[in-house]
Amino acid sequence: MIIAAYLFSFLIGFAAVNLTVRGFKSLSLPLHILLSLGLGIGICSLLTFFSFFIFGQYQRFVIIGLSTAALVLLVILNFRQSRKNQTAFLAASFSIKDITVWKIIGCGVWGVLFFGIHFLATQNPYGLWDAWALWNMKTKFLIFGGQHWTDVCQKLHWHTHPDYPLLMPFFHTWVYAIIEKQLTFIPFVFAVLLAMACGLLLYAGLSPFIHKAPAYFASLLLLGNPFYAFMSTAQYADILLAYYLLSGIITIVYFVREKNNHMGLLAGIFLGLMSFTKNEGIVMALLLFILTSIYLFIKNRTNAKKPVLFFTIGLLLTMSATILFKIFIAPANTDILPNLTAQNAHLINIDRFMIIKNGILQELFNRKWCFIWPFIFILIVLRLPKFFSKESAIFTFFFLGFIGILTIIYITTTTFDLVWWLKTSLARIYLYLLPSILFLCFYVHFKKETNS
Amino acid sequence: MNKFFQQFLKLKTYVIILTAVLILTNGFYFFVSFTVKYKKKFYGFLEPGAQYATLRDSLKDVREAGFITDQNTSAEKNEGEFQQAQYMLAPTVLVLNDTHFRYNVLDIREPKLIAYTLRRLKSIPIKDNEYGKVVIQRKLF
Repeated sequence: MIIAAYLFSFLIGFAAVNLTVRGFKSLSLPLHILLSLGLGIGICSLLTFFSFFIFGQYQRFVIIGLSTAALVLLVILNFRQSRKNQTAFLAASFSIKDITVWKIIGCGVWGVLFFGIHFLATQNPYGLWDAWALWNMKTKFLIFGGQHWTDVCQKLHWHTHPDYPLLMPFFHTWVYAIIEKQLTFIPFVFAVLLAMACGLLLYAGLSPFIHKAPAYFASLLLLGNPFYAFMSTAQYADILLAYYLLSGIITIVYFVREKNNHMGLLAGIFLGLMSFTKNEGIVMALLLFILTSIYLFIKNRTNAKKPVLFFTIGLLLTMSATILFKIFIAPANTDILPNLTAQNAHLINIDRFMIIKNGILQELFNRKWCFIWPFIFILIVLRLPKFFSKESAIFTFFFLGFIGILTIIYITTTTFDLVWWLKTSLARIYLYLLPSILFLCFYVHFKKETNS
Repeated sequence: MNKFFQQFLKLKTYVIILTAVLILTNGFYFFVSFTVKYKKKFYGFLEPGAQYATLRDSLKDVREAGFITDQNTSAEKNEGEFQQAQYMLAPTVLVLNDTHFRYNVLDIREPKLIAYTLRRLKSIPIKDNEYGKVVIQRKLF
């Protein structure tokens, strides 16, 4: 039954991606499928959120009705557009001749890794600390809280981060609305699926721009990392954030390289979804949006308005949920913003800065990551100037900017003991940045230049 | 032969070799981690907050309740009792160390302190369990 729910969500995502990128020939079927998975999750979650926002509580049949209506509408729009433009129904291209022995072997290795990841996940069936204490607990409030579901933001203890956006709990609620059982099993399946899909998305996103072998190696590097397998199946929202960040970066590369405005729309949609996943997602979405827009204006001074307009529309489409949530439901953030104006804030504090620097370095060289970060460091050093050339510069400045913002937050936040906070949060930050940083490194080292 | 050396001297080749070595290292660690967990004796998994599961029915339809504890509840050093109770008893909101509610959940390890709390809050226990967790209700009259 849970497979049927995921299939339903996937079909919604597939139809939405197909409609958005119509007429864009170079989208491969694997990439289409993996982007559809992420978009399907996002759309179902947003529909659930809007049903709560309008009807004031969990209404099973409203959620199912809205989702069915969305699917029917998207299919009709796809058919209409296909007829109008006289194009094939499927935007992605696929041929049976593409299947080779190497691809079958490659899929077999992925299958073995999936088995391993699934097994490691079964050792933590209820997820790690913050997974059940935050996300899964909030899901219970959404489903069983009736009209008092907003208690997750207004009455719960501050340990539970009441201001955090709720994309993941709303998606779990959506799945529960479909199957109405196995509440503890829903986050488990979600985590295993996304942990695997993130590695596959890395391959599917890289393979149009670089040779297939290094793209495949990149995915093995991610999926074969035991700490990634452990953390990504811990049922945190960070794996979803990683997925949306990677989807956003891949679609931005298409958008900028191929100058396809529809990919810009899709990129904006993914950035908006990222903002509804976690507070860090809001920062990342805005930073990526600003940097990409600046890049477009620098590259095409006269023709940048239309692409940026598409990009902005996409962002606003999905970020509208975050804006509504932050204005009408979520309380103010008590961890970060007040500290900037507090009397005891130490904006230039060398001790805290040194603790942060040491914490970051310790995590980078921690053996639990199986040397993947020193490897990334070597890749960056080997081609440092290339990280600042063309579209790669957007992402390099994005990572640098984001690390800078995080450092400021760590320095100014006095709510927690800094050492404890670094210990508990750095691994998760590294987790959601890892797939995208791997993408950037392999993209810079192996990219094929376009004729244009 | 010349072509082979040209290829050999390319930076990309070294990066691929380095990646392959790292994949093998990761694979080895993954296998070790898998084997260790596979061979570990299985004792079953307890849902977080299972020690509060039997109290759920007594708090049905209660929107807010107090959670009174004599343990450390700081974000850094607590043993997660409060979070576990909140997870298990959701959608009842638990308010930490606030006694203004009609219903309160006690997580007190010292029996004398439980008796003292009952008397102080003019409450009666309505449900307790083998883990020493108690739901108390204030007497209305």
